[in-house]
Amino acid sequence: MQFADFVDAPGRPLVEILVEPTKACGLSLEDWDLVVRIARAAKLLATLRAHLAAAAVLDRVPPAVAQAMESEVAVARFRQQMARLELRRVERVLAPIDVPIALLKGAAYLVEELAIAEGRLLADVDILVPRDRVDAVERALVAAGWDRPQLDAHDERYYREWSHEIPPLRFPGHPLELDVHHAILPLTGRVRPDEAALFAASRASRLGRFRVLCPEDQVLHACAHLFQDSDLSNRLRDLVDFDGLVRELGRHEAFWDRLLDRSRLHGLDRPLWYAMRFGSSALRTPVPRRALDRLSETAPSRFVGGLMDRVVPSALLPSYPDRTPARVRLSRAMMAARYHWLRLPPRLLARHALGKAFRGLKAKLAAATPAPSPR
Amino acid sequence: MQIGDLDQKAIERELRGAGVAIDFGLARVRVRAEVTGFGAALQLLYAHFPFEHARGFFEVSASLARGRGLRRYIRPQLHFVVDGERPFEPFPADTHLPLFEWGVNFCVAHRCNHLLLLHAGAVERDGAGVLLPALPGTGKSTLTAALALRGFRLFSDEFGAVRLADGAMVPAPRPIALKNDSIELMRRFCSDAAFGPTFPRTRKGIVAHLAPPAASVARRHEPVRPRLIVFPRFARGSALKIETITRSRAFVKLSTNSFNYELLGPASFESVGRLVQECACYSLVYDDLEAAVRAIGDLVASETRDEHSVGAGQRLPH
Amino acid sequence: MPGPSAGPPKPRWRAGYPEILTIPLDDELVVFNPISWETHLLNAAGAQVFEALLERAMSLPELRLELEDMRAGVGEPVRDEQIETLLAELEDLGLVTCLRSEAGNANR
Repeated sequence: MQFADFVDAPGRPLVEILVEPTKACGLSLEDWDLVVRIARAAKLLATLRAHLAAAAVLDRVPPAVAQAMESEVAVARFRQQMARLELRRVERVLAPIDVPIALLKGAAYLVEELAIAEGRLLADVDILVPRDRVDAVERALVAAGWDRPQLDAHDERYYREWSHEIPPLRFPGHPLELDVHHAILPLTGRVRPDEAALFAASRASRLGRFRVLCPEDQVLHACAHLFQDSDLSNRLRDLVDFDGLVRELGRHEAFWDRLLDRSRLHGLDRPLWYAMRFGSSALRTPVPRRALDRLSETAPSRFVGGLMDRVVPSALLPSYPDRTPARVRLSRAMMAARYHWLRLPPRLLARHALGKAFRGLKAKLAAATPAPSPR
Repeated sequence: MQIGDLDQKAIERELRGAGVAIDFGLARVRVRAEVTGFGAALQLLYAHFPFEHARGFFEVSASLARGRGLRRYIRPQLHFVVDGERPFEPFPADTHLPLFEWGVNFCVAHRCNHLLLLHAGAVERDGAGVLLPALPGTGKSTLTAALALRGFRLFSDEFGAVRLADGAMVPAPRPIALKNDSIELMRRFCSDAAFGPTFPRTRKGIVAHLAPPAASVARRHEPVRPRLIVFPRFARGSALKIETITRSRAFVKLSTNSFNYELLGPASFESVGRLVQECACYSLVYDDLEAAVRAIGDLVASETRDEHSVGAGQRLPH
Repeated sequence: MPGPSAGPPKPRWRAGYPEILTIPLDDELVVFNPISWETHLLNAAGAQVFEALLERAMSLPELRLELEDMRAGVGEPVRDEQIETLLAELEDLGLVTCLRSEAGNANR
């Protein structure tokens, strides 16, 4: 399967340059205009610059384009700095509490100084704590000043019973949110990774008491995050993460055996299979043949696999900057349905959908009849 | 050929086709629009900008898109769309130009962080750059417009853009938005000032735009070294007052009158430090525009008189 | 350095983070803290104390001597309480740290 076959033309140059940065040397200003717009929409503009820099072709980029990238890099750097600040604050506040805290995703990549941290536009800081300690952690953070969103009863229950994270906290004035996870996938989902095993295999990070997942679990989390816990819409950057993690952490033969063992343990074979398949076809992620073979028993059926092959590329990539073709909209709608299906078993899905519809109706009625405003 | 030279049909065609390209120095914008009247407004306010086909690289590719469904026809709305996103609430369809200007400002603030962006008017005279940092709503645009109409080269009434590498000010001459009383004030100040259409019902009241002078537009690719920082404050009934301010106070005021001081971290620290070390810093309280313009002219004259090693013809890299 | 009759070793202060950026503006100082990315403005007194501590770690008596030297007889003598207040403020801002645990290593 050729990834590029299924993707509308605009997304292709970006993917090509990410994989082979030297191709950037042949781009005209018109080409760059499209690439920059798409990269920006995909939140990959600063990452693209990092790839170009690593291939030593940054000087072949036209000045105006280089400046646009520099601007994005400035934003990325600022968010990373803010993430570090947030982590230091969290560490201070949680010092008296005896609880293991693991960094997840961008926070982990940043602290461990992985290559994919460069140019990354962090939206929030993700940490993982054991489920039985999450209330204590939340209380301590809120007492120390973090704000918690005001939620209605339905959303509160959703977070308590179904979700794998508490409502996002924000320290006043801070640009990033703090997401405290107690699992890496929703509690009600069809796949339940082994949290105890995540912590058991975790290791000390480069920052204070924070831990990071072992390399295999980091890779698996990236797969799960993209293929089990998202609607894939415009999520190329998550596939780029997977690709980067594998390239940096998976250099040794033994890694792949361990990865597959851990995947089996956590029940994440399917998302891993998808990540390996789409990563290798889109980004030439170096996946050994035997790893794919070992997973082929848990591969999707030919029907499902074929459908995913057709739908994932259009959903994953950012589309034309000015319009979204019908095929892309359809692909994204299908992936959104899949996301809900995976996240909530049927009875909860119905209840959740009905709850949302009812609340939506209530909101519309409330908006149509404005309450008298106090003067 | 300039944008003002096109006939109206031609500009409407471009707007509905590949878009109209506007290079205002700091950035290039490509705009498409599906609303009538916008083309005519562009022709008035961007009259002196060269007409270019919308090809190449643009910092901002935007379109003004009609509202969907009912709002296409009933109290029609216009959205500012940039790269598939609609960053803010729609405007009524007849306030197309203010929407466009506001949208471009938004994009500049988000996409030009390779520069220090001060919340300041910026002008130049005799090779000396002048920055006029001030909070929104304090009359900065009116003062900048007055300076532009009295022979200062207009850089911007909104963004004092400073290069991090060498501290040079980067021009971004665009229409100056004036509100309510300032419109009449400026018409009296300069009777043949080139105004665009008046928009009577925007969120900020009555808005009209002053076209950037042709000479400012022509030199939009010529940066300049800043030499003077004046913190202006309009105070009705007050006598004109100019005071030097300490460099440390100027530093604090500059860093608070900035779009991206926090964002740039050490780079903006160095940049603002250099600004207060290399510029003379003053505060200016004024009631009368004419007097304020004269005072600033005098300050520039004293700066350029003292400098012998730097002539008015010093060239900075583009 | 304190001699044998100087009493218990005194805590020493040091300007934190060698990567702190400073720009002198007249007799004041703007300081950029690379950890917090915050900028601070120090008045003349604070600037003197801070710049002294950037040079090397000092105890309170050493700092007082240093500031007296800088003052060179001009103006009021510097009082310990003033220095302590300044140090506390600077510590609050994260610009200086107190080496309390190294109080015994007077020769560092």
